[in-house]
Amino acid sequence: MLKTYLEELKNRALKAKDKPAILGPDIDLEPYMKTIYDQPIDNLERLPNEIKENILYSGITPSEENTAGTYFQINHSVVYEKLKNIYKGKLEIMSIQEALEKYEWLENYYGKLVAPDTDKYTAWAELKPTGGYFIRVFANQKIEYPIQSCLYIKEGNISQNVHNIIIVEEGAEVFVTTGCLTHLKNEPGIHIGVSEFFIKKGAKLYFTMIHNWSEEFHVRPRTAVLVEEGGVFINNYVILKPVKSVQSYPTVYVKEGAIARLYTITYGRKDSYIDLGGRIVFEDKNSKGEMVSRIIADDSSQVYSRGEIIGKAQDTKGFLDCRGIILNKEARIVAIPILDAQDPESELSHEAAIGPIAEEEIEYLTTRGFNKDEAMSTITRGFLSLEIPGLPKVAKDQINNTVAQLEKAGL
Amino acid sequence: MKEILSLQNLIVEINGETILDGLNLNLEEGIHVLLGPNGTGKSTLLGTLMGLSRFKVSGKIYFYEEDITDLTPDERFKKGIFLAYQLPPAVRGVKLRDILKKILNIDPKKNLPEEIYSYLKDLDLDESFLEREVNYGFSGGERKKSEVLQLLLAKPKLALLDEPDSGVDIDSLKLIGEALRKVSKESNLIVVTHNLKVLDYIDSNSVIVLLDGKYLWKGSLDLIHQIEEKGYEYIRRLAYAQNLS
Repeated sequence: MLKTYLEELKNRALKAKDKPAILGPDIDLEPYMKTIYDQPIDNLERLPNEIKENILYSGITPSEENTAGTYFQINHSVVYEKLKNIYKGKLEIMSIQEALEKYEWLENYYGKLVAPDTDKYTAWAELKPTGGYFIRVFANQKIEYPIQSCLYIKEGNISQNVHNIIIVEEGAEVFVTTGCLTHLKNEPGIHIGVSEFFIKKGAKLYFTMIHNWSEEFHVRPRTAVLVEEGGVFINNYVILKPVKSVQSYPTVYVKEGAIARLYTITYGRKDSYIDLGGRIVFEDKNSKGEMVSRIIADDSSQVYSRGEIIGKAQDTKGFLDCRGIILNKEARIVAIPILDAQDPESELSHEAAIGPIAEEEIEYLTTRGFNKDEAMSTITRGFLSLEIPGLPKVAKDQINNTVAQLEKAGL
Repeated sequence: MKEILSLQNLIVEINGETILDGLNLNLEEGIHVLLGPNGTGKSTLLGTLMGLSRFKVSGKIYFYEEDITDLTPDERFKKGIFLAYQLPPAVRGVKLRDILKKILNIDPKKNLPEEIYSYLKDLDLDESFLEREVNYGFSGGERKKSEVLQLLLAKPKLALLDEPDSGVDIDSLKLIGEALRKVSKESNLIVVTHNLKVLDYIDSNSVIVLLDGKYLWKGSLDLIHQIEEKGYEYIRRLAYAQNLS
């Protein structure tokens, strides 16, 4: 019974409501308990201008052109959900609450990858849920345009606690872009996001998450992904604007012959405390994966990049690649690679390099007509424009456009 | 012929060490070969002419009678000076195509002109070469070809070529030589080389020998034969003798 199961989860969560996370500064959640209701809208174009402009930086298109569907949440309310007609019967998008009311079988998914008693953040996402999306792509459906989801905070002093589930059924393919952001400047807030993704046999999920928070925001994503036999999961995470603190350590369980690739682009600015990890667990033979991070740390930002690959089976292959550029004396980058081979035929390797932009490289470009500033920004842009193998062009364009938009806006 | 370059008491230091010590030179338009033993300061001289910042310079550099001593490399590039590096650095994330567009000063969103394809063909390069991160993972020959390709598009007034022929195989040398022949028809050149083979492709007007970072000895092409026969020591003696007189 789903109802009983959910009660059990709540009980477990209750016991962990004060349990600090292992990593990241501990946040007192008490001041963020109020709930705010927002009215639904019938068209994204009717969003207030400041929201409309802002979401572009997170890859969300108000015109919904070239998208399969949209999920839009402001503060604690789902304000807009849309699935384009041609995709009806191929996939579904709804709020997690609707899904829990509709599908008894969610008992097999909800809370299965991210335990509610992991820490106080997962606990509060369970005890005081305020939305999140449910996306399910039916077997063998290949969705050519992205589904966009936006988790927006427009009021200060609240905690947005979402629980997202994506199920990509056997042989299906989809890409999902999630923009998490606020336009608030000086007011504090928290975003807690529990995400559980299930990629079935031979299915593919291309997932891009772009975070645009503000200097007073704390962010605690809690993500886990199961990639079944022959499945593919490609994850892109982009954070280019300042944030008070973000701490995340998603885990991807990779089954036989499946592939997981995690790419992270981080631009640490101002006082940002950014602690981003990633763990790939090769659970069965022939699984492969890589984790690639590109980090720029400016001002007095602190960026931790934790990459962990665990090889539990034969013929598994994993690679960690972390490169960072430090632009300021006050900034810091800490790269922490962990390779954990538990099988003699698991092949794991890593590369990490941190340093300034080499003067020689800047100068080389100046001999070709770039002035010094242009040379710096060309190298920085190039550094952040990752060549991600297997990423569909539309998703790649979206990331590049977002970086370009932010650059235009002076980040 | 017009004077293209004039050096007046040029002193260059790197990390407090004097590499070039009081050079004076007046150079006319044309093709000039710059020779000298290893470590004598030839690359330093070319880098100084380009304005590279690691060189601390005193004295004066005039380019077509304009004082360019304090100009930055990009300003010198815009005046028409181009340096083809001996060992160009890899610049991660920046594609060769991006650099070529900048050299041509065209909008990054616009396509490169058609002529690029014939240059690629001449150098036995594929279009995909343009998409590679510049000099990253390039073989020695590819680095040289990339420099020459940029040079072909830049069409500078003065090209500074730092060993365009070192570390390349015979076939590549031929292609690079032919490309330089083309460049030499439109640009003035100063070519640093140890492999005189490249001189088969360009009609040099003069030979300049740099010795000990102090002496510049200028002569005709015959000088090469004298060096081949008698070594640099012979030129050094000539230079010292002239200096004493």
